[in-house]
Amino acid sequence: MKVLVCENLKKQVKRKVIIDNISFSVDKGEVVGLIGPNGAGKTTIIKSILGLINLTEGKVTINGYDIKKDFVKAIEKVGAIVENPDSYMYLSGYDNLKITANNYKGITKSRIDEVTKIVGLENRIKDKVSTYSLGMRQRLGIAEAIINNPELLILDEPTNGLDVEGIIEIRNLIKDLSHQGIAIIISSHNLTEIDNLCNRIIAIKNGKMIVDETIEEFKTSDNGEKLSSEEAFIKKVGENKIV
Amino acid sequence: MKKVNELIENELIKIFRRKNIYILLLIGILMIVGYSIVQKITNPKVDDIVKQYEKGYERDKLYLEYQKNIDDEKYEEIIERIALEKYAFENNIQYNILLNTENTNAPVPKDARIILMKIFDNFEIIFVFIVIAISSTIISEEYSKRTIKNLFVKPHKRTKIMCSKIITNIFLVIIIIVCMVLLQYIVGGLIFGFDSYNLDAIIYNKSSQNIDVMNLTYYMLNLIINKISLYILLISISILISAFTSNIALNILISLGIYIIFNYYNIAYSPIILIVFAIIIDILSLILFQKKDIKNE
Repeated sequence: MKVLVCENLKKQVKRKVIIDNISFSVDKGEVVGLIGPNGAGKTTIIKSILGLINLTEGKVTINGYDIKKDFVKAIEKVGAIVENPDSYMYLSGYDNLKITANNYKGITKSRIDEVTKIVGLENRIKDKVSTYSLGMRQRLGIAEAIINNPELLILDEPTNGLDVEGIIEIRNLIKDLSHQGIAIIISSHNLTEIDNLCNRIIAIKNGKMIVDETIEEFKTSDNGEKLSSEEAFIKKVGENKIV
Repeated sequence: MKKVNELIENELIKIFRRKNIYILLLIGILMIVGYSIVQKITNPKVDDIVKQYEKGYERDKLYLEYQKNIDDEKYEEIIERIALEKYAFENNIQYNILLNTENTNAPVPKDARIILMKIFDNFEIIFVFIVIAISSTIISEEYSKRTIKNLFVKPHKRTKIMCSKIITNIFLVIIIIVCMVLLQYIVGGLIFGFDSYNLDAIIYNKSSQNIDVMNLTYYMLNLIINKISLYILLISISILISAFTSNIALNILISLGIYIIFNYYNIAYSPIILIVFAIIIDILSLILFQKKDIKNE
């Protein structure tokens, strides 16, 4: 069974169509890169999947459960960072994790300690989040997203604000998680990151899906020429800015 | 049920880890203690309270007889005072029973009992501010700080999340109000003595123009229930406002404005009607939150 199935997603606000006819699915262990220019509709797609916005048309199914009809069952095994990892700044990292853990069954203190170690926040976990750097908040957000052992993980710019060491750690973490069979969607502007992490690309432009290919297909032109990620992006998505 | 308990636990963690709640409570405590100390210091020295009531009664009767053009409100006030003063000297009352009025010509010293009975008259604006400050942040702040999206991607229906916030809010307000009343009881007793609490609540009934006497504890419980019902309605209004704006200052302003209008026009309903209104408003809020999209940054 596919972990995530999106069928004909459409979101319209008054006369403006934000996303239209978006259909794709994600298997266990797949790492899907969601790319596109600013305002393309990537965040809208993510929010639709997570039930944060009401779709005009279409259906989202997670592990066989309809997000609209069976929200609780659908979202139970999902972890996500949407836009920024907004934690409670006046609480410690530990309290933020405890609050997250309280939302699920069977998340013990040892699991909280485990995710703290995975993201490398052991020395600062009892400090207030307001004292954290951007990178540390990002790590905390990832810890919150993986605390429930998700089967679907959605990450919006997961390496934002991290130093080189942090970026490498998070990339390795994402690879480990995908090897464990977790389906992962990464939304990012960073093509290098997408290239390193993802085995599939979905490109969005003006609310429509224009590419759904494996990374190898994406980096191969129509005439079989090998392209870099940036070249492929320019050719296939048509965005002139290179990140 | 277990999950609702954990959601409530989450809300309590969020509330009690903030400095603001402690600052508000400290202000409330200092005002209660400070007021009692000031009243003790400024209390008039009266040797014979019963004679003081008699003197006050005579003077009020003379005032009504000779003063022309008294407005209705003042007239009602004096009628009430005359009835209470008469009751006081006929029954040898040794404590202050002038709940809604004062006779500046024959002042009666305040005591722990009268200050306790007037706790909401004296400090209601503080209590209301505490109520609204908590209820406006419990949802609005989640939207303004963008933490609401983390809440809504957890395995709970939005209605359950909102219900846990409403329940926590109501529970907290009840605890705070009861604690403030108990604090006043203790502080008043320590400063003025506890003996005045042995006297029943003596109230002038405007409709029957008679004196009603009831057990002081019963009076206070009745008062607390009435006030808490009003505060529950204010919480519901504040939460409904949160459905339209995440601006906390605006929420507090509108909620306070509604409370002031209620007070100014003396709008009084029974606790049951207030709770029914609160429930209707809460249901409306739950529907609105269910449909609300979480907008992009």
